Amino acid sequence: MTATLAPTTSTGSRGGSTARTSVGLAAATATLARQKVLAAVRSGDAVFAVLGPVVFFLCFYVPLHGQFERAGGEYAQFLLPIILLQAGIFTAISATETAGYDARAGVHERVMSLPIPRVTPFLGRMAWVLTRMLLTLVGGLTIGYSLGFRFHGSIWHTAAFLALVVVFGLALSMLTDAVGTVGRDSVSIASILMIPQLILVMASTGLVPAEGFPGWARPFVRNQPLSVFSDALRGLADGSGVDLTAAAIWSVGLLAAGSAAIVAAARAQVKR
Amino acid sequence: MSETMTTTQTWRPRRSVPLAAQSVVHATALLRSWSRDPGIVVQSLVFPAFMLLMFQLVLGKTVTSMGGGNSVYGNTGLVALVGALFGTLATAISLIHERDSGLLSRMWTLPVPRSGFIAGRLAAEAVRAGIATVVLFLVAVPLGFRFEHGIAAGIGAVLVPMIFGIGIAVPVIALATVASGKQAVQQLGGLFLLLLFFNGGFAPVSEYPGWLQPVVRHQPMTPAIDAVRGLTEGGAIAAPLITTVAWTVGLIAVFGPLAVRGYRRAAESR
Repeated sequence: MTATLAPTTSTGSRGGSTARTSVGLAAATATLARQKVLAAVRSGDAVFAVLGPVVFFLCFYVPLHGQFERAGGEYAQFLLPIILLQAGIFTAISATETAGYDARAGVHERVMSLPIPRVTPFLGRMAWVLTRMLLTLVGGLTIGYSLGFRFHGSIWHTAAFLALVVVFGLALSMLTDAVGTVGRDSVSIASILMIPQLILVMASTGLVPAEGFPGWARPFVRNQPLSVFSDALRGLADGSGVDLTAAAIWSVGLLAAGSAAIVAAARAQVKR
Repeated sequence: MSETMTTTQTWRPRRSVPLAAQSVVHATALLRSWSRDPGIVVQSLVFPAFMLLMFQLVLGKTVTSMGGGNSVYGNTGLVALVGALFGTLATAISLIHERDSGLLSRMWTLPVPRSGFIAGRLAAEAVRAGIATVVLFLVAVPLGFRFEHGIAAGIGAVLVPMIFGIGIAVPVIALATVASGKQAVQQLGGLFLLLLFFNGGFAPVSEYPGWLQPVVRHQPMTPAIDAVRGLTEGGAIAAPLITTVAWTVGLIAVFGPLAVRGYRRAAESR
């Protein structure tokens, strides 16, 4: 009786390996997240996450603040939201490269042979995205605060400001993660994504007010997502009466599109 | 016995190839392979064109109102140089791939003058910058860009980013061939970003804080932008042009030996 049951319980003592047990979602995610964060620290991407917004802030602030402040206004207060949003886009662009690397370097196949939930590699990558967005906030807020940016609202306004930045970067990264997973050449995709980044960041109300644009461009400039987000962030930082409806709709829409894209990419990968 | 001798003689004897021919062949081969790399095409042609459109749309009015002439001339010169800068980073990444795939080593065994590899690469960089500049001028004309000094001066204006591109490519080759290279090239991207914003083409030099103005005025891009502006809109030509050539000669003198050593190491490493 006991002898027939023995193989499953005492394989270790007989020189074989212990029985394979599946690893829980939390434990597997934590391990893969740690691996992604360490890889990013080693590749220098973590440093770029902090310094990127600092450099871009200075690049726009130094040449342009004189002109802006002669017209009456605090440029650091005006500029910081778009810098943080741009950093969110850069996070998404680096996410497409990471996902592409995992999909094509055989990492995906090897990880999928492990007894872990299928969703954990994606969650691991998103953990790095989340970390990267927090690093970006540290860099952006440090340079912003030292040049005159302030939170004037309540603690809830500030919390909503920080959450909106992180949600923007995360939702966009879900989309680009899916693109990088199914795309053939994620490095080329990343360099092509720099073009919509340029258009959305420049042609927004983030760098100059809508009045600075020619009349024909204003409808687009006022209503494109980066303007919507930067207007909302600016309102939250000022603590004034801010209408978050448009930004909330965009956030939900981006998150929904990102989730759908992730599911579609995962399906495509299983078929392969 | 004599039969085998005659069959060997049906091959033409191995001959060395003259330097000029080798450089041209290497340059055209590189240009052809670059034209098939979407990353390089985007970074050196498409991205600059969009960047010019955006700079003019967003900052055109603001910067023109700061004084210092119509901003389209400054921005066109600036963006032409940006295309040369960031395009060089993309070609450096492809150089690293050529090294890692062993292509450089295989070409190193050919009976050709080895100086032709570097010469051909620099020529290809110059041609790439020239093509990108012509495309950019075509984009700029509807925005108000004009050749006020005629077509000959306009052709001169195309030469400026080509000269600049050669100067910038030498340190990039040197950096790309040290160690693994890729990270060094990416870090150089950060430095280029600073060059992009802190020059006399993005905003007039007077808009920068006083202590920074000497740096802004004398960094390699400002004289090159002034030369393009002088050859198209009007203004000083000789002084900025000489400074641009001096920067290129200086960069070659300092980084040339390092680039040659690095390239040799890359080709002989595996």
